[in-house]
Amino acid sequence: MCVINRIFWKRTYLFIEFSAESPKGICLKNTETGRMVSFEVKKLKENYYRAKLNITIANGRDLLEEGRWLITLSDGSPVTEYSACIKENPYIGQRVFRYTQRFYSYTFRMEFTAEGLTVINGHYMSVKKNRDAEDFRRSFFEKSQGGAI
Amino acid sequence: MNEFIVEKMKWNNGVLAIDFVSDDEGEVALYAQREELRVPVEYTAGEDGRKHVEITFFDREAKSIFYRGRWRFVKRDTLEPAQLADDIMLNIEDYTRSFYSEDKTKIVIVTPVIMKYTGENTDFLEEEEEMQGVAFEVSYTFKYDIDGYRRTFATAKREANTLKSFIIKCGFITAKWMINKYYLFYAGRYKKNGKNILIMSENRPGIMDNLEAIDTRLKERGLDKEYNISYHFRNIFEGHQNPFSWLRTLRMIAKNDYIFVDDYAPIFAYIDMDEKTTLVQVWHAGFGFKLVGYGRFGISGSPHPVKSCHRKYTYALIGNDSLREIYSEVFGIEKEALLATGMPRLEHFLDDDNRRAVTDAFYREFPELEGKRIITFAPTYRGSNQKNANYDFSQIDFDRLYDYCKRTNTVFIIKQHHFLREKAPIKESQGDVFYECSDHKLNDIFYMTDLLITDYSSCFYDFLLLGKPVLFFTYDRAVYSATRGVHRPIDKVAPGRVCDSFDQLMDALENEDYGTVEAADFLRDKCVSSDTLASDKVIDYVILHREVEDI
Repeated sequence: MCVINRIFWKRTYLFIEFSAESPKGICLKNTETGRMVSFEVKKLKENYYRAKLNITIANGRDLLEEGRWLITLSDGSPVTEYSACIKENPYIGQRVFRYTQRFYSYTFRMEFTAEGLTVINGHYMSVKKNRDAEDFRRSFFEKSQGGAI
Repeated sequence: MNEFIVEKMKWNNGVLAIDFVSDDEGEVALYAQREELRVPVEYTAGEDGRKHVEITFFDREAKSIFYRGRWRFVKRDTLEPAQLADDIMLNIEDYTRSFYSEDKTKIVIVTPVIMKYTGENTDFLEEEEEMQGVAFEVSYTFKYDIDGYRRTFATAKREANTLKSFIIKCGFITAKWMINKYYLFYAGRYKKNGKNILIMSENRPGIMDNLEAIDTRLKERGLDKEYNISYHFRNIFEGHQNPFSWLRTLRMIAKNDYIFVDDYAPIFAYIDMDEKTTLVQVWHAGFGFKLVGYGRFGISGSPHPVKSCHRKYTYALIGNDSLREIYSEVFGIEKEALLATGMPRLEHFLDDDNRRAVTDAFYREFPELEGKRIITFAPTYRGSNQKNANYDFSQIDFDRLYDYCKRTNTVFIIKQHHFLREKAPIKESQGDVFYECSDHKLNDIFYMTDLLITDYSSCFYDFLLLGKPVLFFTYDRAVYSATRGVHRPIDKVAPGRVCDSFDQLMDALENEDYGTVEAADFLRDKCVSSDTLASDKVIDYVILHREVEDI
């Protein structure tokens, strides 16, 4: 069994710490294309491991492509066990990378789905003009049903 | 200045709770400098002397979003900015929050940033300043498809604040398009025969360091008779560049089969490189603490995710195998593209003949220094680029240092980073102790140096080969880490004592307490453990396509 205990970022590295009785490979599996991206796994102590992935070179010389990514073991089966501090943290895995004079953002967030913990990443661009900002504020909640993310 | 420090921040949904200390009872506010708006924020005083405010940036139930912009947390009347406690500053990226719309096509992003306090320039602080303050940047963003996205005049209009910035952006877009077309035209015209080598730099006026070592070795091996070696040096960061200079650079890049480049060369970001061309980055730094390249992705000075010159390297040289991961991160390329040859410029660094010649020349120039102990001070610059590079010499009490040097028969050599043009503020009366040798090669000065004082620079990497002590003077460690970023915590891996204040530095000097930290594996250049010259490995592997072991 593999239990994910901690998820955090350091610069462009995504770290996942987990406990397991034997070494496991950790991957991100794209829910659309099925592409698997492997983490590097290092043993920290007995039955405890740290996996890391540099998202700037996760697709050859390119960023991890945008999409939805399930956290899985190397055989593609989703990791289903998570510590309470991960389950109860609505902001787990959030990260924003700003580029081109902070006008653009490459963002990460995570959410629990029926299959397991899913990483969702994408590119966003800023609203720069006041008129557009008003439109943004008006339309932001249009489809919202309420409830915090 | 009064004390006004944010000691704790915690998000609860869209509400940011801030605990701060302030030595007066004045009100606090959020202040948008550009719009000159002040939004008062009420605080409650706790029993522990801390004050507490809660700022609602986002409320999904009430359908409320805070106004976009950069909001400084200030004292309402004086606009004095709040400082961040060091432990928050060191983890500032963890305090960003994103609030998504239901369909995930829009995000409100709230980011704490460190900004300059005064002045019209509201750019993000990238260097130590007398006074910084925390601001909360509220951005409204919407999704776009980066793969299908092309920068056009329409996108420039969206990005620009003013007509002037729109025109500048359009100019850049046009120039980049033309640069690529011009390169592709010449790349198609010149037939590659594998016999043309270009040695170039875009921010150095002449050949030096790794490029010089490789060039020398090419000639020593007689390969200059077999290959056409061309040279192209210019500093694009200093002054305006003639368009003909750009065109010439592009033609030379298009013509050559093997290109050796040192340091940042943005021209490669604008062109679609010919697949037959081998581009080798011979990066000058062994290991430095300051983040560069993709190590800075997402923070101030971030490279573009796709269009960066670093991504274009066929190979890049590194000092040893342990640096593979770091430079894979820096250049955004796979580890296999990194050649752990060691630094070619260091291959003769420990040779006695070389050392003797340099030492003799130095003491001929400065005969009065013979027999004296020498401390060399070689910090890196603060600032985001060559134009605004600076160093805050007010952190150094030169009178106190002068007294120490006089007592200990020491001279203090200052070697500034080559980006810095202004001389260090040395009093004429103290010229017998303080020497500015910024126009000398640092590695030459190292031979005579007994103690090196540096900071986040990579220069200590070379100095370690001489087995002499190093002190790290990092008076701005938290700010530097938060704004510029560091690869590894300097206090954890620096092979020498880390001094966060001038008092600590003087204490280390007075007590000869230089620290006893062993140099980690990644700080040992391969040139000292290998029988083969680093430049030979590069030439054999890249140009002659021979098998080379252990790279």
